[in-house]
Amino acid sequence: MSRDPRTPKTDPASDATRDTGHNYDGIREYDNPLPGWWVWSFWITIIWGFIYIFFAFLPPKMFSGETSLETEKAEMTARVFGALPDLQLDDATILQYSQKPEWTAIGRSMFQANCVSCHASDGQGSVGPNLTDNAYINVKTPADIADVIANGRKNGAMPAWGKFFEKKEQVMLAAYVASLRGESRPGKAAEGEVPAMPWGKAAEK
Amino acid sequence: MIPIQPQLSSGRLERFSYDDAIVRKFTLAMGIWGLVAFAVGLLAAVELLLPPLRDRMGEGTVGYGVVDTLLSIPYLQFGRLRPLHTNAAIFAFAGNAVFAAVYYSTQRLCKARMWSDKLSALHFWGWQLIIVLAALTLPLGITQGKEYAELEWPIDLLIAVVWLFFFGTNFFMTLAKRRERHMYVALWFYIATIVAVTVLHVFNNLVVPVFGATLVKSYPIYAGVQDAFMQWWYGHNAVAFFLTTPFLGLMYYFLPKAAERPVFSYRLSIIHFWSIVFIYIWAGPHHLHYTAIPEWCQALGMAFSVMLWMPSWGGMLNGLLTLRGAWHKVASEPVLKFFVVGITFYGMATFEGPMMSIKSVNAMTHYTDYTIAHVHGGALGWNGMMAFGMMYWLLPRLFQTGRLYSKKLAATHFWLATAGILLYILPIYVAGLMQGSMWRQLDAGGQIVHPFMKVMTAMQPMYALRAVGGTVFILGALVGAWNFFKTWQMRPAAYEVPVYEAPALTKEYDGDDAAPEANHLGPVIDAAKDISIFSTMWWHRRWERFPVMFTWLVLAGVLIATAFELVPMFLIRSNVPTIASVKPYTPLELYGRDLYISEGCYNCHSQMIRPMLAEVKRYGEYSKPGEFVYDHPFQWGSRRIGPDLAREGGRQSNAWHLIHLRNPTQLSTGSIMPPYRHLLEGKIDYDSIPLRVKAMQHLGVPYTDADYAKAKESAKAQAAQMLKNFMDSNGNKPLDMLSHDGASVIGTYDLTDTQSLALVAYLQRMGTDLSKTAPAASATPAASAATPPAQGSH
Repeated sequence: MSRDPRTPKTDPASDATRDTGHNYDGIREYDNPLPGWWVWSFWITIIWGFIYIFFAFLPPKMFSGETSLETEKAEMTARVFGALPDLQLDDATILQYSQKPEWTAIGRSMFQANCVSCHASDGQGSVGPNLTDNAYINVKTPADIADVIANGRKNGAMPAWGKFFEKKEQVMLAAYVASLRGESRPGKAAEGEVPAMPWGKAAEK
Repeated sequence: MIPIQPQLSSGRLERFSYDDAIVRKFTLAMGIWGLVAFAVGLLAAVELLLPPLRDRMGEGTVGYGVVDTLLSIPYLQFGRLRPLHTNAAIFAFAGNAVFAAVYYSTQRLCKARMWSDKLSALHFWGWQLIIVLAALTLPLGITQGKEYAELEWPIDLLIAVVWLFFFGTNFFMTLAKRRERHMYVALWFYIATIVAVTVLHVFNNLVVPVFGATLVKSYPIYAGVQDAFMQWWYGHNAVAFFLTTPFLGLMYYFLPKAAERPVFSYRLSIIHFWSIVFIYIWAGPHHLHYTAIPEWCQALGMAFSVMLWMPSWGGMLNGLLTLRGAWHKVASEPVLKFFVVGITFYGMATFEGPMMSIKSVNAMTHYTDYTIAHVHGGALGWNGMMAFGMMYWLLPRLFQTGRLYSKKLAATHFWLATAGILLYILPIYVAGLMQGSMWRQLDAGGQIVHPFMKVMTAMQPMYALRAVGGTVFILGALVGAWNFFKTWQMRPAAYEVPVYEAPALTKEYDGDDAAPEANHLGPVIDAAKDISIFSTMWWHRRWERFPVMFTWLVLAGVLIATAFELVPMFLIRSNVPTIASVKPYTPLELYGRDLYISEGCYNCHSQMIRPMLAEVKRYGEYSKPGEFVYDHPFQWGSRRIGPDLAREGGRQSNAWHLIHLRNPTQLSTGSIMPPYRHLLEGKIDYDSIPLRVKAMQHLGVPYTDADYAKAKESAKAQAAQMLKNFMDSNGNKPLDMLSHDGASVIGTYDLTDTQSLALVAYLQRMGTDLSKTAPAASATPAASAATPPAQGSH
């Protein structure tokens, strides 16, 4: 009970009435009241917690990621592609968009995120063929590019990407790839045949 | 003979001495394993820097060859090393620190020697054996594939025996034989530790072993969503009851001792102890926000995590406020320096934890390095600093030297450790925030802005700083080891064993506290007074005489909370809506999956796409609970050092995967994945495949007896098909084998029956079932399961 002489006099905790008198192997215990902010914060988190649980358990699933994903997805599609009509994965559409840099930019982003590990950073090819030369393995017209992307080729040697992209995105990716033809970036040697139909740089010659 | 203050009880006087030899052993083990854990951590950190460094040196250089050789040693690869690091840090370093604290303080708080010196020794040597077994099996790839529960079933059994029967029995019997009437708060925390860890360990490690001649392998009885729930119920509460409660016990004993000050508030001890015990267990699902775990479960995890904030801070307050009137000592006493910083880190980590449990924050920080910074603040800052503080307080007492070899060196250790921790965590926090924001960024066209490898490349400077921070921390630990050694050298020729004297406890006791007085004024005020009297916690004093009741209450707290989450998780079918097109893996894929687990792929790759726009854009359709019903164990992961693989199936060709395993950076510029060439050479153990199918059958995976009978042939056929597919797309040429310096072709791989084919078969299956159309009702599910797909890849 006696006050520790080394304790400064101003120490409120040294108040002898707050000493429990417990002594364990020389360890004593004060019985200071709990700090008010601690008690109140504890109560607030408990009350908040149960309110949150109550709302989370209600049927609308208001904190669910799935609910907000659907909305975000729809908003994004509307914002990016809302102005466009229904697009077909045909030669005319793909060629038309391959000449519009604002749309091939979308294709380019998609290419950078998904295609570079086989076709290399600028489409010059590594495991997959060079897409910047004039020759193609499985492509005769621009629509074939879209088909190869969507369905893949050679038992998965070229994977099928159809399920990963929306239709309009597939148009933009095909348009970007089509626009690479004839860029002739140094990379993998040309494979396949030169399609009879000209497009890209090949068309300008 | 040193008489101890007599008690109210009047039992006969007994003489006893304390067993400090066992404390010396545990303290030494803590120091040695600590150095090992830190060193392995540093090696793992450096490994994340090596692939880009190697590539910068350029193919054909000696440096390239040296680094490449190091990177391709399977036993040292990140996926196997990281579990070794975490297990060593938690169970070897922190574990031995806890045991040293418990054995030293319990004897003194009970005024009794440990009940059995034999059990103490069995505990010590048993635990060290477990650590050695872990250090041998984890680099060999023998693992259960669940974080912090990697050790395989024979070691798990050993842990259960050592923990409960050696440690637990010894501890509780010492309590039973104690000569101190009331249990001090440190003992409450030790009780909670022993009880809760037993429950956690047992329930998360219920497995079906695969018995093979050379196979140490098991599958957990839970699958997918349920396994994920059990794992993070365990993972989170291992942090609670292995790294928090015992260290709070340590703090409550060694801090007032070192500061020579009374504990700030007895009633705060009571309240924060019980609230920690009752709230912590609920919070596990916050590790699974936005995953396929049910929404209600995430909500409970988040709400209880936030409620946990103040109970955790109760410990910090009681620690820091105990130093009131002793702050001047902190300047001169290294032990207190370590404790002050340790407790501050505890406060920081336990604020950060609830914050990261808030779903919108978690959406940003989860799977990133932010978590890594958070846990190192906890592990190095809280557990490390408390352990070292205790060590410096104990050394002069254990070795009876009267003083530490050098206080100055202890202070040097302190500053190096503090600087090391900050140098480690600050860049890694930044790395985490960068990852979180770069991963989610979409451009105007709705496409992801930063491909995964670009993000990884941006991490390199931060990873380098982390390695520097780790090195500084280790330098501090080495200074500590030197101080330890020099203090030990100063020990006397023979240790004194003081004999103490205290009366035994009697059965009868009438010394219980009475309720505080209150003058009653009126009915309303009376009620308020009653609450006020109740909240002084005076009634708790009686409880402190009953260790058995304490044990039951802790057990009840743990079990009730668990039951509230666990029972609905396992019983309500709608938690995991089944998907008709999801089928069991083919035998070869199952084997490939076991390789994935064995290599520790989950340490870098998650398999869980969260329902967020950027994530769906990057990885594909978000993961559904029904996709994981055959996943024993689940492999959702907790960190993306590499990209998510939940929808990896069909994204790359077989050829790409095989070339990628040979050297990932050849195809993914900026990748920090090591080469997995041993899989291109190691052969499939076909004989073990039926055993694996059989074990899965026991677990309820719908393989038919015919599947089991044909498992071997089926696996061989699929492997052959995979190889044919590769040869077709590689122009019928085998895969070139490159020299370590990458410059020359030194041969070709014979990929026939190699493990790489099984692993790639599994990778090609991942996430593909969801988009398949369900088979006609007449087809038995398992018939299609064991039949390899018609094509080499999906």
